[in-house]
Amino acid sequence: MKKRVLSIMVVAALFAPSCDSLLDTEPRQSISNEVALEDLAGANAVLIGAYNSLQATNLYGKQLIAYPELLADNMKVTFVNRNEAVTLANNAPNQQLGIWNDAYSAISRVNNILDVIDNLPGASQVEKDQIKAQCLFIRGLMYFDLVRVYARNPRFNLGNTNGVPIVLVPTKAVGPDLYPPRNSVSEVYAQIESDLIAAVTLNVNVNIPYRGSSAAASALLSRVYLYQGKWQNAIDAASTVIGSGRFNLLPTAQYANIFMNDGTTESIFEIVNRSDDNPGISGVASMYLQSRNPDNTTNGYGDFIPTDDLMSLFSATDVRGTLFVNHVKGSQPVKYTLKFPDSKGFHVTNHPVLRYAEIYLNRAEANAELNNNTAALADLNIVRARAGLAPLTGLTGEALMNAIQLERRLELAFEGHRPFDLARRGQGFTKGLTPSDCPATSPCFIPFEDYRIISPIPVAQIDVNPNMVQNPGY
Amino acid sequence: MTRKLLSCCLVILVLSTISSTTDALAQNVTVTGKVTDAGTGEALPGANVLIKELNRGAASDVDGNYTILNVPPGTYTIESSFVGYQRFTRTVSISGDTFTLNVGFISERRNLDELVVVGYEIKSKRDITGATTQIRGDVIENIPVQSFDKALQGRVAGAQIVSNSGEPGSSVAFRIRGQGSISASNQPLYIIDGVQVSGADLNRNTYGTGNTLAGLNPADIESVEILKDAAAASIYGAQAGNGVVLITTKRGRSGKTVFNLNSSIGSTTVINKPETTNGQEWTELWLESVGNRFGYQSATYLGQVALYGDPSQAPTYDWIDAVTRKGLSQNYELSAAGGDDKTRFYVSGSYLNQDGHIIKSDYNRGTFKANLDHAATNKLTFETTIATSVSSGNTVTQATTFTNPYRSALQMPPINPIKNEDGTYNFNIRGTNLTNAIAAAELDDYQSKFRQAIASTAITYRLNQNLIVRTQFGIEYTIFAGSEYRSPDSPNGAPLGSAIARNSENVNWQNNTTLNFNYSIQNKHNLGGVVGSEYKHEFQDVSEVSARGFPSSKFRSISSAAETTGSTGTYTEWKVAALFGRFNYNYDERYFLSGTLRYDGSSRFGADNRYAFFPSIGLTWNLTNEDFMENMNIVNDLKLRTSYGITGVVQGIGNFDSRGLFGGGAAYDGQSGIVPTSLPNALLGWEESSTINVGIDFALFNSRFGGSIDGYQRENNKLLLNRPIPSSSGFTTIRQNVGATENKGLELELYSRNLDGEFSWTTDFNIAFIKNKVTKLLDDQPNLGTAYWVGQPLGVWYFNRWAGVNASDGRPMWYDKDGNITYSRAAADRIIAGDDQPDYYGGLSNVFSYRGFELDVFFQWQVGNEIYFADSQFLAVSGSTGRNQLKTQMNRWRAPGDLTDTPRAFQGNVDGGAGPSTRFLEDGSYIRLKRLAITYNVPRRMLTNLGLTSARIYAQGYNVLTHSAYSYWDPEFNIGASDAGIFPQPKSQSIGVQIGF
Repeated sequence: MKKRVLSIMVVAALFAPSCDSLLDTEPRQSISNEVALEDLAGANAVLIGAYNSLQATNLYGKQLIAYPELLADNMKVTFVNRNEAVTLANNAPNQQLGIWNDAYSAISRVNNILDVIDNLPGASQVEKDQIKAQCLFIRGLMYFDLVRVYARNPRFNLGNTNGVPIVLVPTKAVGPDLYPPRNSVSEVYAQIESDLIAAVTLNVNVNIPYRGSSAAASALLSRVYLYQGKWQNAIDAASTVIGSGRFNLLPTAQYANIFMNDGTTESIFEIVNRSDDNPGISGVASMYLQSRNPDNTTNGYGDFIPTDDLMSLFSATDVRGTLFVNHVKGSQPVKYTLKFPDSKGFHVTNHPVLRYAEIYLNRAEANAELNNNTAALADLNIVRARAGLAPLTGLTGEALMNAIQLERRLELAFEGHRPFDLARRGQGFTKGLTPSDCPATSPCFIPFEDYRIISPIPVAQIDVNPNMVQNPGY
Repeated sequence: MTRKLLSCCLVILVLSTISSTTDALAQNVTVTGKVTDAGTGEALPGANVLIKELNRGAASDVDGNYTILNVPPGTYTIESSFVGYQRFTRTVSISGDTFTLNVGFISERRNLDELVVVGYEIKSKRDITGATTQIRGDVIENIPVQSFDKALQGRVAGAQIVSNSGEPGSSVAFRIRGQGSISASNQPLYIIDGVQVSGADLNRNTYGTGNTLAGLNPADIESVEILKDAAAASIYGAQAGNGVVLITTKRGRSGKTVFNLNSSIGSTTVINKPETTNGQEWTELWLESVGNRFGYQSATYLGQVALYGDPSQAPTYDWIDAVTRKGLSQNYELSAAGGDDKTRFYVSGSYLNQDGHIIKSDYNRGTFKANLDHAATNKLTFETTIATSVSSGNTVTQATTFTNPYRSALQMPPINPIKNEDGTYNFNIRGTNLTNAIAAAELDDYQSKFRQAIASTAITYRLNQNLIVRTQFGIEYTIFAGSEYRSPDSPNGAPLGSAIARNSENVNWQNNTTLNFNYSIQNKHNLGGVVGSEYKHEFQDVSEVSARGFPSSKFRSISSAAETTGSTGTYTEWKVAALFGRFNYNYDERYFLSGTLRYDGSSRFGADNRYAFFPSIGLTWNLTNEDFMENMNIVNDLKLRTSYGITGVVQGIGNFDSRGLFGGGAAYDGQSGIVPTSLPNALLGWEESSTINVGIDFALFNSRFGGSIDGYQRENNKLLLNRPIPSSSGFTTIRQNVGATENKGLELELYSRNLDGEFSWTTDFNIAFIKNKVTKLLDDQPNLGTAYWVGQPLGVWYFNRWAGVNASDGRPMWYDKDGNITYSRAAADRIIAGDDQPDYYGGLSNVFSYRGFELDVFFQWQVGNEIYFADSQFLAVSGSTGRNQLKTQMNRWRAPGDLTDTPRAFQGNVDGGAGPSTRFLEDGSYIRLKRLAITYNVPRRMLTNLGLTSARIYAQGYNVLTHSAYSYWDPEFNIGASDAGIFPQPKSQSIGVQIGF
């Protein structure tokens, strides 16, 4: 019996696997944290990953471009539609922008790089600077978008000074840092300025305009100052861009080319899209346009169209008023903007983020605020002249400011500026002047004090983070 | 193999229990007798009668007589088996010139000595201490479904089996004793002839809801054992937390080769077609919705009137009719089984073709099976088991896309013709511009092909009477080829056409080596068990290429595409290493003790948490063998069981979930990038399931009535949940072992031979009551999302309460949290309004036989779950979005004072009446007449002239009648999911012929 028990044990031992190496496995399409960022190639790859996040439909793939236009008074949803953003266009509660997760995802990607970039082995200072400046630009851009979507403008805050949490280091493990409270709006703007100024200082201008260059950082900075009412800073930053001589406005006759062609001299920063990228059919190009061909109704969704109100503002000679194609959607005659014109195949087109024309308008507005009326008019007329409009003269005060804001609305229409430009000036908006823009049954005027002017912090974030505070009204 | 092992065990048992083994040499004996059906006395030809110890036997002739010559006198175990009857075993002392032993087979109903595969061992049902259910192959044969898992529906107490879709060849959700996991899989471990198969893990590859288990022809199955509690399952350790399903395929028996030919044809249709509005009604609703919103004098309204005209003149085109059809099926099977003393075989082949009841869907399968057993010596045996199959299925765009034809057909404004007068597809859709999904379905292709092999070879060596060592090498090899083609002419593919080709190769190889032991001391102390080791390595290689630009619909191969638009490849792997043992002891066959222990390691888990122990213990008291029961003749069996054990859940958990990773696929401007994809968790481990089971098995009145009752409490701890973390970290979740659930239940399995004799009637009944709840979530939070709440069943509906329609203006109303009427569906006002877990489910089978006729009436039910009718957001909006509507929407509010539950039509659905609320929460209970079958068995005496051993003709209906209050296609679809875009269930009729010769 003893012998048998022994033999059992021997046999069992023979078949017993040795435990450690038996279970080793290694993923092949992913790499572990430790090796991902150990060299320049890794840092560059993560940087590409950060740009990739900007393409997301929740960021510059659609939401940051199209949804603001629907929330304010530039665009509406077609009568017959695929049920996207209908309630958003009606300013229904809780139907605002939802960029939170994707914006912080982009920030996390650049934070991972910024964490190691200064000590990256085998990389020259120039190589490090090139990566660093782009990371800082992306981080500045994302915090700017977060703070303008989720927080009140600092000049018209109605007592609500809550910004968004500032996270500057990558998360590597679960810990208390995971649950940040909201920083104040002024802290967020200070961080944005700090990132963008650092990006400008590094003086890196590679692959303009597909990458976030130092010029792009200056351009964004002029807008960031404008949002804070820092007029002189806005003028200076705009002048830096204009003074760089890198950019030109395309001639009036070539206005459409700004959008049809990739990387024109007017583009300061644009998101490159290729046919194998998202956002495809659910992106902004599809939502804005069925096809450049008026008879082709089967490609894009073409659900978002300009309001009658906006269309009525284009004067006869305005080249921008011609940048549309007529279609019939269902039974509804519609005009589609050609700012996202399927230039590289259906739904594939580069998405503009910072355009040179805006810089003149930024500087004009800041100058007007400081009563530098001549300088303001000069910049305004540069934009007007290019649009095919006669110069304005002799305007001052409110009339001048109204002219600048009108020009801004027309020049930057459909590019995602409108509600932010209104909110930062303490203005509400009328959803439309005609019943087709705003049916009699809906409330058509939304004052800037309305809680829906800023988006709700995603409910999931409130639930998961005890330090998170919701915006009032939600 | 199982039989072989068993016979070895039996030999040992017999040798050790028989004290007077004779060594005397005397004149050899001729053993002879007649094999008959003990009930009818009818002779059974072709039965093999075997003398175990000599490994010799003979088959019965046409008259049922058998003769075995030259048997040395002695005490032997005579065994015989015959399909459809209980195994015959008798120990006899043989002497004299001729020894007569008649073999009377008892028709197979329930058998206490039934052999049960329990994991690395075969045991008599009598010796089992855990909760198991055995389903014999004949119960599931000839059922018109493609996979055995569907055929088990309603047959197993405590197993909720729900078809994920009605697509032919589709997979099921198989829940043994409820749902324990929230984020991991709730599917059991499937083991086919000792080979653990990936089953549901591979299903993700398919288009539609394909099922890799459909590769096994159900007709090849001898039996299926379902191991339900921890005592039964814990020898499979970390994979056994959801129970284990062991499938044993048929093997040859020595004797005359028996051929079996089976052929059937049938057809399927949808169970129910939802009723939608016709063209007139649609137009009326649409114009009303525009008028109500913009005013009946507005230009907008008048424009719509001009466009759509007088509603009474509107045409109607039946899109639902056009996407459904009668799907024809045909099935052919041929098997041969036989062998001699040394070598036995079972081979079979089959072909199945099933056209779906939705256009463009079908399933084809060919299988080949070969099981070979060879005894090289008395001690050394080899078993080879091979199952191969080739299957392919076509399907259509599914889920919640609007090119899903059976979804889109309901929403399509019925005024739109499907085709133009010239025969081309109509793409000029009026109303809400849905795509012509019928065109998409007919022009595009979505095809899944599987090539599968499950093969194993085992060597068994009997060291001595007490010890058997066995090693088995098994492999599951699956190649999946999926192709997706979107024609340049179809709405999905226009204008260029696109295609995707996907290939995946899955290899799952494994070895287990076991040592079985059996001792009996003084006939009282019986010891037995097994120790062993197991190793498994599973890997999967997937490649996918997408392309676009096809010159025309005639070019469908990806090689004719102009441009490659993407290519990806992934490789992933998983390893398991384990040591295990089971120890069984019984005293005098009265008190049984069984303990198992498995030390299991898995590569899926954190570096600091790779191995764990999974123990279990079971106790059984067999009262029947007690002295005081001796005179209680009405009780044939009475057994009390209890067990406790711990098992784990690894299914459905990612192979690299514990790692902190950067992943690729994030390109920009033509360059490829990487992004952080997960946070590391070195402590990530198994979900742990512990079960207490108390059960009783009984058989009364000469085993005419009996069954099992089991009560259990199953607690799942360390649930893997994606803990949401603030996304300001760049991640939205991290996988952690938190959370707990509890399932408590009561299961009854009853059988009864109500009538015996010429007219016989038997009943099988099973029912499982289950209470399921979440006991712990993240950080003691009350909820996880809206579906999981502590103290509530898994998967609740958290909805606003519907308060009806305001009779004065037709607006929808809800209750706020204080019970006041509100006109906005505020998130804060939601309550827990129902759950998707049934309160009880089960099946009832009645079989009536008279002479050769047999009638099988089988009901299956599920009661107490709620379903959210998710597509109500499109189909029940009072016509407010221009989609087609359910007929019920004609009851909408029209004028002040109208009392109705359907809000006003209001273009744009601005009122939000169709949003999720209790308005669309429906009772998911149903009872089905699942199977109604009539079979005629041609009497044996008529067959003999034809040279046949058996013949039967059968006709059956499946899903014949369904009673349910549910208003969409059918209440059966995958648990917890939305019904939006679920392929509806079929009902079918078939006839067949089965011939043995």
